[in-house]
Amino acid sequence: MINHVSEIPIEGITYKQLRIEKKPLTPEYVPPPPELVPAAKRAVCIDPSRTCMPFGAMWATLGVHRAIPFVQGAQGCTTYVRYTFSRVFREPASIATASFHEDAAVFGGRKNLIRGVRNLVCRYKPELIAIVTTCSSEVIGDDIQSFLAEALDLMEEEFGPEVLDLTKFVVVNTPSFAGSHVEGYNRAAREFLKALSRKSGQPSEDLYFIPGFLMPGDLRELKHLFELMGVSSHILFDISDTLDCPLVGMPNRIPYYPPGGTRVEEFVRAGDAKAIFALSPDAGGAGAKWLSRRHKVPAFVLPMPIGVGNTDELLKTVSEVSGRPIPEAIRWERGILLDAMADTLHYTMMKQVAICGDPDFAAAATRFVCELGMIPTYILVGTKSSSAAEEIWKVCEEYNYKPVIMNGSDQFEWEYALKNDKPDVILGHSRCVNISKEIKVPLVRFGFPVYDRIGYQREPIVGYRGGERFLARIVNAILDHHYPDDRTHQ
Amino acid sequence: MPLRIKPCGLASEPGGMTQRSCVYFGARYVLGPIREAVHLVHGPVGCGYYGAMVRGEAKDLFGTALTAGEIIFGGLDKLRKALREAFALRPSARGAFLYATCTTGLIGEDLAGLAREIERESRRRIVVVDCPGFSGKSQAGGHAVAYRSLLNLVRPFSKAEHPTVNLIGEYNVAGEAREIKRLLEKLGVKVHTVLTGDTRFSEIERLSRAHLNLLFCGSTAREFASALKERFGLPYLKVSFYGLSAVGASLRKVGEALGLSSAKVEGLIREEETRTFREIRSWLKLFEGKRVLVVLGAGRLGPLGRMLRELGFEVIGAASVFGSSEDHREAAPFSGFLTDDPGDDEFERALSMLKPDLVITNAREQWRAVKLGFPTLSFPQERRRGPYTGYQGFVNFVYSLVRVLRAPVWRLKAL
Repeated sequence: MINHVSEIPIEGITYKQLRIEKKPLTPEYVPPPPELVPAAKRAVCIDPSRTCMPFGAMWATLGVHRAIPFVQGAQGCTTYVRYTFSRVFREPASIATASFHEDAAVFGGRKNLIRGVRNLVCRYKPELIAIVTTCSSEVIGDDIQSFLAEALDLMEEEFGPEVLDLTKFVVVNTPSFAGSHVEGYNRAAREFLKALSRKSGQPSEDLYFIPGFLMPGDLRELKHLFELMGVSSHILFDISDTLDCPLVGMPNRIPYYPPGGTRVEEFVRAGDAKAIFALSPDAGGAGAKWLSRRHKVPAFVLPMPIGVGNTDELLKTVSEVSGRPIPEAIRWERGILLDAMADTLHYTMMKQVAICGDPDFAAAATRFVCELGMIPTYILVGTKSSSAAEEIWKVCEEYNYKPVIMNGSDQFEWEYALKNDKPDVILGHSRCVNISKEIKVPLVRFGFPVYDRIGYQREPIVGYRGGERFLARIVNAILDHHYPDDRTHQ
Repeated sequence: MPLRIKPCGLASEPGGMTQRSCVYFGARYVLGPIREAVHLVHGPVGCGYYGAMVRGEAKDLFGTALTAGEIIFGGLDKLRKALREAFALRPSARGAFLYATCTTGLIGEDLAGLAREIERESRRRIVVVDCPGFSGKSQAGGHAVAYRSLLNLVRPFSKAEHPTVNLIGEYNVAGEAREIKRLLEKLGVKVHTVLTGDTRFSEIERLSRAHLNLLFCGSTAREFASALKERFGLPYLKVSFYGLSAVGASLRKVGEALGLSSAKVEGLIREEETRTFREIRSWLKLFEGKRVLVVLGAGRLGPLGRMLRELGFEVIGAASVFGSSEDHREAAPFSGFLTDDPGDDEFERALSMLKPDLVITNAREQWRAVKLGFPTLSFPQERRRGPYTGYQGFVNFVYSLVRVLRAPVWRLKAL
């Protein structure tokens, strides 16, 4: 196989000499025909590492207070997604569907949308409904905006004009054949700001953040950092209290809406913001850019704040924009992360690591593992993304590594590479479990989706404290696997 | 406000927050575990991504991951290439299942024509599963489509020497078929195949070798079983292995149909029942008079109600997600009220009005009940909780209930 690991700039010693000897694969393994390995040359897609666009839009909507995504499509488009949310968060996720049947396929989804919106408004009284289209409604060519206008007219006739103030509507066009969940989130961020944000002319000191697919724990860590900085921050699509909230007992009002989530007013005031930050360039970047074009709010598209360098960049930018210095408490946290890195460098240095994840996660994780002295070998970027690939190249040039980047490929190709050249650790989501078991290499779970471990969504990986936990997880995996009999650790 | 009772078998209302799924989901649920076959989804990437998970387990699934260009100009060329590649990557496959999705149905791809073409070329059977998501009221439509597509695979074969049965409509959730097989093997009955819990492509072709079909899930597979009866003279018997009385009755029925000695059957039942009672006796008083709310798919409603009755529970209400009238007739004697397709708000309202001591519901909806503070058991169960069928399954079920009901967390909720 390709010897992608450049000579490490230490005199006389190459990484290969330091490594533990590779074990051969299980004898049952039959390699596929080599011409069918690269995903670009194949028509068939095996184990994609990305899912459909509506998923991203629904994720964003569920981060809004009392908001319901309304999926203009068949029931499965909702049920599969609900199942995914349940597995990842172990929380209920209320998602409504337009219930497309044969008649909708023939006559279009007009009737379904009108009746569905009426039912939702009457029965659930949400503050916001995001109409999320699917493949089928896009192929039929539903004109959602005009259907929605008609639905509102009919409701006004039936219930009086006050019904129009009850609920806000956002339309997000998300056909799965045009992208993945990352693009879906991206579009949702743009459409939400487009539909809701206003400029009142009274500039505020508020900073806005679009987090992307960060978990509740990550969002809480970010809030903690901004609180220490003393900046007034708003996180848009804040799932931290909607998809991770306490066992409440019977609520006073039914239907039950989780407390928390971004308020609609926060979206409205986004036009007056001092600055908007997209913490994932691919998931949310379009929203920030739109706001800066339309309302002249300065937009900063930063890499996901995982690891030292990326978190430094975020905090420095926030500090510059807000004019507030980085406080001692944050420097302390940073010092603790550096201390942990120094403590464990013997375990992490020069370990080969393969990475699989969404573009923003993969790019940020690559920088973090490079900071730990690990060597990224094969990086699978689930959704094709030029910005993530560029970012990864930039990092690897800095650290003098030459990994193989599989941009927008599927897991089959990545796994084939891993079987031929085993890494020491795999960083990836729960769908990488099989390959990890097959080649007997430990898997450190991160990104989306992680459904086979408890508490992943509550433990942050962003910021300095998150970095320290992520580091601990990586090192513990290495300890468990590569030094299982070492008594000095026990 | 009183609970709204809905009749069964109606299409769900848009915006009603239904738990029902699509026809493609149903087809994947039935056909997903069939081995020795290539499974290929012709549709956008999402359908392939979600469809890989069947009954909580990752299965081998290929997809064409259609993009906008292929939606406009047609994706048959890509599909042809993908099928050839899939066969090249899985040379041991004896055939292929080709799933249609919403997109395929809407742009009107001729899958059957392509299947015939590739069949001639590759000398493998290709089964077209015509399951666009919108083509039915719920996943039940997909179950029917899946079984109909299997029907043409079955060929006439001579009968096996030993008494042999097929388990039809048994989905082997958490290894349920293992316990059923154990009991049948103790009676000297061989199980040819478990459709579709544990089966290979070639076994489906030889289904007619068996002497008897045991029908488990009536609502999904009855049509298939009766078609086999018509074509191959293969009789079927509706059985249930949930709950002690049902297992006993089913074993007796099987023994009678296959002409086994009744002493052997009675001996097995007596022996197993004694052992089961010994294990669960001490727990039974915990269940006495507890009130249960059940919200489940369809076919398991009746058997589960009976099982809960045997343990001393009172079923105060039951809701099916996509039940047929037959399922409802079966469940009616056990439950206080019976409804179909409850929305999220209706489920919450039922919880707040009835205040049940225990909720039994599916994997998606269990978290809603948990969040509102009700002891909840998800069903179909996870693998580690073991099968709930047969005698061992009854013991497992009791232990699962005990774990849920005795968990101190439900008493800790008020501060």
